[in-house]
Amino acid sequence: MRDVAIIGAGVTKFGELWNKSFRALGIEAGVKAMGDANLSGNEVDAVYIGNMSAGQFIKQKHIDALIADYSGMATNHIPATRVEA
Amino acid sequence: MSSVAREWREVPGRYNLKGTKCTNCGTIYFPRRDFCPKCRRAGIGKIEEYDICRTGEVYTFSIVHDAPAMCDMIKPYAVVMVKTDDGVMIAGQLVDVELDKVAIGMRVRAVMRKLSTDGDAGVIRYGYKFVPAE
Amino acid sequence: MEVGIVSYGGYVPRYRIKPEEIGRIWGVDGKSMGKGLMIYQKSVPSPDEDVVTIATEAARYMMARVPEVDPKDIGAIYVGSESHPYAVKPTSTIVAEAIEATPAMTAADMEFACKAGTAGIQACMGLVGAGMVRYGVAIGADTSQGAPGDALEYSASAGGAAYLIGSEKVIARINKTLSFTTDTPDFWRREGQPYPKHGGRFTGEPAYFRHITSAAQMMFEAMGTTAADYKYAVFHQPNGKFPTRVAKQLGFSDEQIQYGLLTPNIGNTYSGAVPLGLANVLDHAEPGDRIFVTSYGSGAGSDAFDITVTDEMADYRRDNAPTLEKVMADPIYLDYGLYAKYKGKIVMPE
Repeated sequence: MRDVAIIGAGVTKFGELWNKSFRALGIEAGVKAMGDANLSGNEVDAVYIGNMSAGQFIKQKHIDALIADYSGMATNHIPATRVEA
Repeated sequence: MSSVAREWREVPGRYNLKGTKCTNCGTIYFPRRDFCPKCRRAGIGKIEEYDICRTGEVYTFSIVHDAPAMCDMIKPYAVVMVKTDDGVMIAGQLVDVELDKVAIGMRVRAVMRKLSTDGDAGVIRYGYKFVPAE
Repeated sequence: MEVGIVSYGGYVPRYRIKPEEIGRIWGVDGKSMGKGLMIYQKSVPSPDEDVVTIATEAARYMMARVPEVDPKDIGAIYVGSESHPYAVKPTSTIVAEAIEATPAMTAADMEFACKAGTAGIQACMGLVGAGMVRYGVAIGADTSQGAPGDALEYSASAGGAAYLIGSEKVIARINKTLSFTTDTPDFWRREGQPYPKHGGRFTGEPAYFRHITSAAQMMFEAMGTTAADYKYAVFHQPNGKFPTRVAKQLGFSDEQIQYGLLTPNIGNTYSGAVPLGLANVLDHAEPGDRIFVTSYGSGAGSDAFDITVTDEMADYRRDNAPTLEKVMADPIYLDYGLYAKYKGKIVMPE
């Protein structure tokens, strides 16, 4: 196994963010991380979205495809997966 | 129970067909997008508010007979893809029309109608539907 | 300052039901009922229509006719109805959002049976006249309910009209308004009850006729006029008979009330009745025409208006939105079963 590293990170504000939808928040951190890593979206091979309660709070569990589409990665046809643990 | 914050955020789009336009690539988005999926980071700061035209024509349609619960009272009904006069595709219901008169190319306009209610005690969702126009 | 109507718009839903069809279900000669009431069909709202959607459509027609008016310059909006969709949460704010007039404005919903719309016009006149707002919007709209098998089922219908009140480019100047108001329990509905109750024949002389004739006489006195001084007259119209009779009592001819009387064709639109009747008159009016308007709301009260159409009417872009004649053309007729389904009268499973 080779070494793996976190090469970029992004974080949003935490709080009562009435004006932000789930998808807007979801991609905000990712977009910041991409900028931090100085990567282009075309260099990404896979997307993973970690989330526990979307099904309960926004009645939508299919957030892997949602985030991939909203961030413009869907047209690259890379795998997108929702993770919960 | 649906989130009142979400209903509130969606009001400008549902009532007044407010979308966005990426001035970097010229694409118009409805429902609105605050991040252009084509330009991605190149579009940040270049997304503008855009009012979608409320008239257009039926691009394609389908008559729904097996309806979701919230549309049970109005079945059968027509769902349409409307190509607005500024080239944007919007999906919605076509109402106040005899179903055998619905046709591709038919001129339509957007009106405000009751979309659904959150039970007897919840919020009423209003938004656009289409009706035949000259 | 000249205060009056700057623009207007009216909307009636597309569906209709005839009195003979209603009578057929209840074992009554519906056609005779219709003749007795002078109502030949009434409008029925689609299941996805309510006072909010009707008021919005009328308000949007109103705004389309004055494209130079920036909706953000509207400082007040009042929607009057007895069938507001919410008991608490104003119809006015939803309509205000739908015409993009928010947020720097005041708003409130009004209720006064069938005269809530004209009460809103009076409130807007006050705000405009006092220089507190540039434009005010007053809307009267209803999706009224008649109890199954009751006389009101033949008349209770749906529709509404919106008025933009201001002092610039006024197309119809409101020379005067005054009202006659008393506590008279002719017709009412308690909170939570689906259908109203009424006092039968008590709704006639002591209610409708007393208030309309009193307000009308007060107006004649205040303006030094008689019925002959007006080209058109609009009265509240719970059926076709009452307004025809009160018009005669006050000295108006059938010609004068012809355009303002829509109930025989669309039923009683309650808070929408006088606003729609006036809108139909304005669809036909010309500069110089003088219009006499008296509304009536159960509970009870009448608002009277003396209106003169100005020269500005010649430049008014009425054709930017459909006239009422166009709106009411080409209706779709329902049988009682569909009518009951659309009006929510069928007991549905949980």
